[in-house]
Amino acid sequence: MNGPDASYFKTLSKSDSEFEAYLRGTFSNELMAVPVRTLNVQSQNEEVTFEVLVKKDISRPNFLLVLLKLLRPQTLTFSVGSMVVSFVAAQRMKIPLDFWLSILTIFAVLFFHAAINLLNDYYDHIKGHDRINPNGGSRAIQKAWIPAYQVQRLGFAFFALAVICGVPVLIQHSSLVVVLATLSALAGIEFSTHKLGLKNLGWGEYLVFLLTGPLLTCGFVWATSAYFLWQMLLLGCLFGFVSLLFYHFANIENIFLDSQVHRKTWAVHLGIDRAKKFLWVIAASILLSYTAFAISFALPQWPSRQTLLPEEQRDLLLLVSMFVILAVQLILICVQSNRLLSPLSSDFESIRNRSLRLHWLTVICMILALS
Amino acid sequence: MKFVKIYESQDFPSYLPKLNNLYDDLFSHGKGFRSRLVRLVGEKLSLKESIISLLSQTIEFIHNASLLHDDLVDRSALRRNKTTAWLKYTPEYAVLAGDYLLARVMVNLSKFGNLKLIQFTAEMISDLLEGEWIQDSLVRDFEIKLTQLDQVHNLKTGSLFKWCLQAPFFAVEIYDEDIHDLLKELGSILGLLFQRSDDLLDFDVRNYEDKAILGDLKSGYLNSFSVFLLKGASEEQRAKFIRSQSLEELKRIINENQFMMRLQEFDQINARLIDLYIHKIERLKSLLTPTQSLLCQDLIPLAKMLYWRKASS
Repeated sequence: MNGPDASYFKTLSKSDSEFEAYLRGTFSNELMAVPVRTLNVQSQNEEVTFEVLVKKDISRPNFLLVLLKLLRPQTLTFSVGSMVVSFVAAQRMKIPLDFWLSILTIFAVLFFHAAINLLNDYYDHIKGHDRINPNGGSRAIQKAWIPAYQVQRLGFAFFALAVICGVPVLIQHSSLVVVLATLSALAGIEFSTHKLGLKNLGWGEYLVFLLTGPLLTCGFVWATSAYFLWQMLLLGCLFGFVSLLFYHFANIENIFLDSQVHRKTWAVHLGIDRAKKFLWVIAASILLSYTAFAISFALPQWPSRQTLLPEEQRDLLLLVSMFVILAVQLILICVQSNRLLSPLSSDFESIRNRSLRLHWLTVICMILALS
Repeated sequence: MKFVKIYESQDFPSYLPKLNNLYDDLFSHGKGFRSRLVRLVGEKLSLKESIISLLSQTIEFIHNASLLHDDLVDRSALRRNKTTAWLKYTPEYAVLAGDYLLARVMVNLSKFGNLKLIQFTAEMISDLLEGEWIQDSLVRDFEIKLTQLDQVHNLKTGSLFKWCLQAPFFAVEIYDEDIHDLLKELGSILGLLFQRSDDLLDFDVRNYEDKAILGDLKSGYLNSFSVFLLKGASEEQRAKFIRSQSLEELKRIINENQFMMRLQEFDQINARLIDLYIHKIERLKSLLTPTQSLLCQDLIPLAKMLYWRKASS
């Protein structure tokens, strides 16, 4: 019998009573179970072989670093970045935003996004996606840095923080805002928990576009000022498409594994070549949304006057420069993607990082251009 | 190791002497490891000799067809220390000879008549080809990770080992999913160990048969041990490593001690994989009848033998 001084393998089927405890990491205080092989994932016959390790023998970073890894702060721009830009744009348009409500909303969404990242890690581990995809999630659970149940608890804690920050915002507003916020929250929860499996049915792309785009920018301004601005809708489309570019690219990167587990992402549906070409469509949509927003924001009076005021000329110059920066980055991403020869190419990582940086760049440039 | 004659002269058309010559060249000096594995499993399942021969021939035909195509794709000059078929007989003949072997496999298996076995074999061939296709697309990708290579090797090398273990069970009409899942797992681990051990030969590690070294690197392909050696290497080291023309030069870049340390780590990881293999064998034992489970005793030493390249103690 193996004692807690040596590591050993243990295979459990879904029907075994200990199965969930091993997956969640609640089976022992001294041991950790690392899933090394998963068979028949997401079926009644699922079977997982765990390597059971002694906790004290596992080398891991300190808790704060693990938390940072789990929170994936680099992705928080998808929510907070777009909101901050909406805030700056609304200020510039002289929309009377409630400052404290704005701060509370930004924190509510920030905590909610953190909760989604954590719960996504937890559920992708439990459902098996991150057990079969060596690049999936933060890998903190799979490296035995933290047991899955603690990640779930952290997710709930951040969710509670989001609710605490969000409730004061919601009670200030009409029932329609509450309904929209609740629907967005439910969509976000579905995105991380896959309860309905929408992500596997090709709905993930729509969810990403809406949640990080129009719903977020329009919802934010509506919640903090009670104004609905169609400029925010265009701004939302811009950020939604930038997020979609990143998400679609990540799905191209996972096309090999997603095809094997019959996950119906747009990339799987299109096939790798057409999926790569589709990046051009998203890139064009980004530039179109940006142009529409820039015109609607910077030059609302221009068509009637036919001339530009000095202030408008400055705005136009900034916005045109921003267009050029965006276009260059997008062309680089699309050209590099088209050059990818293999579904397992190591270049995926650098292009994925470039498309993540594109979101940051868009946020920073927009703040500079609008402030 | 003794050469196993896997076919008879009447297996191929006598009016195509060049084809026969090509096959004679190709099949001589092959160790026939896969057919031996099929025989080992088949005998423990009390399969008739004719069926064991059919299965052994099938796996060797598929394996050798893949070698014919692979050598052409990689433009390799030597196979088993002899000139490769595409160089000796022209690329066209090499392709046709490979295709012919695959066609023979389907003819022979359809005569046997087990539809599930035919379907399983066809799936294995498509996995094998997918693996070769992806591997070729990774040539000159010098940032590749071990997990990505494992995915390729699972398709390319693992699929043949899975077949060796599963096909005899299909032939005796044992279709139990749990048994086949486990056999698939065992085949996949054996394939990975075989491939990693083969990748070590490229660095003259446990190269008891004096195989040519640095072949993968020189053809622009980072194998699993190269990837492991380059973990954490600087850009400069990486660039020099890729251009290395001899093992001495490579060890100067990596540093001899570092090389040995990495080898030790690599061996440890694979020793753990062998432990996992043994754990899976224990699981398999519990699913087989007492007579069938005698097979497990014979399967246990295989993983060590494949990785360490000698009979295990």
